[in-house]
Amino acid sequence: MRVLVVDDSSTMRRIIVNTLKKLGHEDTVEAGDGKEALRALAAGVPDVIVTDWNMPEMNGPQFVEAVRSQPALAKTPVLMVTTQAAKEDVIVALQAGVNDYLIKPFTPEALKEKINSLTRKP
Amino acid sequence: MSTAATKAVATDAPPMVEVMVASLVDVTRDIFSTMVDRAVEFGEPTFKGPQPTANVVATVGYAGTLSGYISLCVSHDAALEIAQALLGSDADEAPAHVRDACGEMANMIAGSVRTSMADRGENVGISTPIVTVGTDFSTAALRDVSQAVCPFKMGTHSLFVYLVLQGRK
Repeated sequence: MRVLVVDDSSTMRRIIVNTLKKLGHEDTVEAGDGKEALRALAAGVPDVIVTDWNMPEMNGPQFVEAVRSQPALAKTPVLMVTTQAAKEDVIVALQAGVNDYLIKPFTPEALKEKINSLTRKP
Repeated sequence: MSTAATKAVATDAPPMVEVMVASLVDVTRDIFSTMVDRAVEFGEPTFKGPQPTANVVATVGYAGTLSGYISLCVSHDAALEIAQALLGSDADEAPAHVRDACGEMANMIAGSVRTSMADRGENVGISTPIVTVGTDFSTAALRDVSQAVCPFKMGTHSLFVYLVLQGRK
């Protein structure tokens, strides 16, 4: 399974990638903002996208809207990992096309549960 | 509600800076416990500047119905311990790792405080973090601001979260 991790913080990308590796997901691609992530997506479609909200160049909801505008990515699961947790934020994220939401700070177990939920076959 | 009643409520309400400090203390404890596996002990806040002296200052700004910023102020040693705790075996003393780790901690603190303020009806956005590293520098807030210095202990390290709020008492 390939996971695209989008966050302007290299620290947070490393935390997420390390947790994914512990879950057995070694195939990860990293991007520092939404524009860089869109370039990565042009090279291949991942199984899951994990994205931050507050990023330079293109924020999380703008990135997810751009993802959803591409037919090949219309059903790719997207997990937003963010401190932006007000009710209005969640609505904005869901309207942009996010599938699930994880609020920072988070435990590795919480990330594991969200990833497993998004990748579980029906 | 009558004008008199509105005024009474406004007068009885604690200053916004105190409301934000209460949130800031809760979220800082939670973030250090969850992400760094460190208990931090809160001391007594002081409601005046200047920003505490520190080697690493990670700042995230607020803009909207509240404007100002929050800075996480730590020593080099504390910053390195935070980076190593966040990154595990991936961490080293590379300045970029230490800077980014402190920036992410400040981002989480500011973002979580912002969420609690949004739940109170405030409409606030946050900036991406800016991290200043050095050995002999200080920063000063503009005039007419409310300030709070919130001291914490993480083991033997002293760390501070500095809140500056413009235009709201």
